[in-house]
Amino acid sequence: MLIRPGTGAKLLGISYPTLRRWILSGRLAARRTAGGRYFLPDAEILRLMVSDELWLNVARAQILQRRVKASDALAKGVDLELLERIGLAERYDGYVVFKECIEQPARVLEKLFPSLLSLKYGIGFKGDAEVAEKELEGFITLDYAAYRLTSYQVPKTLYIYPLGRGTFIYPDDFRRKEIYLRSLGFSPSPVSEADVALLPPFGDINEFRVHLDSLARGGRSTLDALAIEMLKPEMVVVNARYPVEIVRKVLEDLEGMKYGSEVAEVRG
Amino acid sequence: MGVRLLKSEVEEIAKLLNDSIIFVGAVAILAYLGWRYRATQDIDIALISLEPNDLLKLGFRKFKGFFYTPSGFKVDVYTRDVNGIPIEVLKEGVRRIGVGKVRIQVPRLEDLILTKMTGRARDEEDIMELLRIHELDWEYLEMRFPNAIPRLKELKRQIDRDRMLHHDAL
Repeated sequence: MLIRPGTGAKLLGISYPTLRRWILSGRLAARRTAGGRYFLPDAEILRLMVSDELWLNVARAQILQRRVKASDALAKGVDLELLERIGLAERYDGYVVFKECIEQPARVLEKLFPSLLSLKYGIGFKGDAEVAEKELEGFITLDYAAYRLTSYQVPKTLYIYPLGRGTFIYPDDFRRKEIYLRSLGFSPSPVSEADVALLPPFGDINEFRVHLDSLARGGRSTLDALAIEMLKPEMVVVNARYPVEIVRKVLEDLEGMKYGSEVAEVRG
Repeated sequence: MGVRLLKSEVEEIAKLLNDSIIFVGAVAILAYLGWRYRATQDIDIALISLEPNDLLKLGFRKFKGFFYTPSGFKVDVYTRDVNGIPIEVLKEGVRRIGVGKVRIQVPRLEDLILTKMTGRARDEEDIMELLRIHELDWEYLEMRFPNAIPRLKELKRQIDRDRMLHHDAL
């Protein structure tokens, strides 16, 4: 995906003039269209976002509870703005909530950054998921994709990366899909309540993405991530670490499903 | 096994056990949310006037310590309390919600939410989904479980904030 310079500056937490300077000095490899406009490849943005400073702040956050007073986190030297920009933390009511995946080892977490960004900037709609799936060209991830792989948790929201022709899209294409969905009668909604969610495709969109997105999203999707690791190891690029209670639950559920389907088969 | 199968299974269990159980966990949440939610396909029931072994007489099976319905759904059976909330308390506020042709017994919304207040991320997700659609009886909570109020209010504000910010995308 190619990103507009204004959005790129926002993602990196720098001013537009600074970004311009970075482009002109070659610190940031931008692409220039025939018309002279600059666009930034998402890989470049990610490269600059994932810095030693980010890792240092992840390490500082890892020693805190998942939900702490923002003032306590700041007192421990955690740069909340930096973690918020990449989608690892959110502030509510004077508290900060870290994403579950912040506890993953670095080898796992580094693979989750594109997913975290996509989830942070996703947009949601109310409407018929089946219609959206038929009308939108793209890659389906999270709920529906996980259910198709594992038959485990019933899906709720259709998360989709709307992909255009070629390997990357312009932000305008993302907007165009949004306008198209509105024209079909879909109404905007927060992603957490949506029937359909469009995710901007940061990073590589491939078969491993369902597992990575599930890990990045956390909550109920963590169960999906583990179920995928157990049932479809070929769809997994990196094995994550899970709390014992999650492992126990998924193991029991999957064993129950297997036993249940055997019973159903016998009963015909 | 999708939600439709689960729903028909719940109907079957309700026909069989009706007033002697309360559905808790995912089934109760799904009932409150009109069967549109993410859930695993296990069924949690709290026994009011039955012993676990009575289930076996009714055609349930036991395998590796878990109960299974006659058609093979896993059932978690609670006999004393559900995550710390005594079954007696759940029984007092029981609600009846229609599922297909039967009405199933579920705890009152506030009690159900309290059984989910475990601090786990996936349980908080469940609570938020309920809070998005339903209003809570704060007076009841104040009277019975005042300690839960601050966290619930925080979650409620989080939902309102999400609603306000939802258009703030790329």
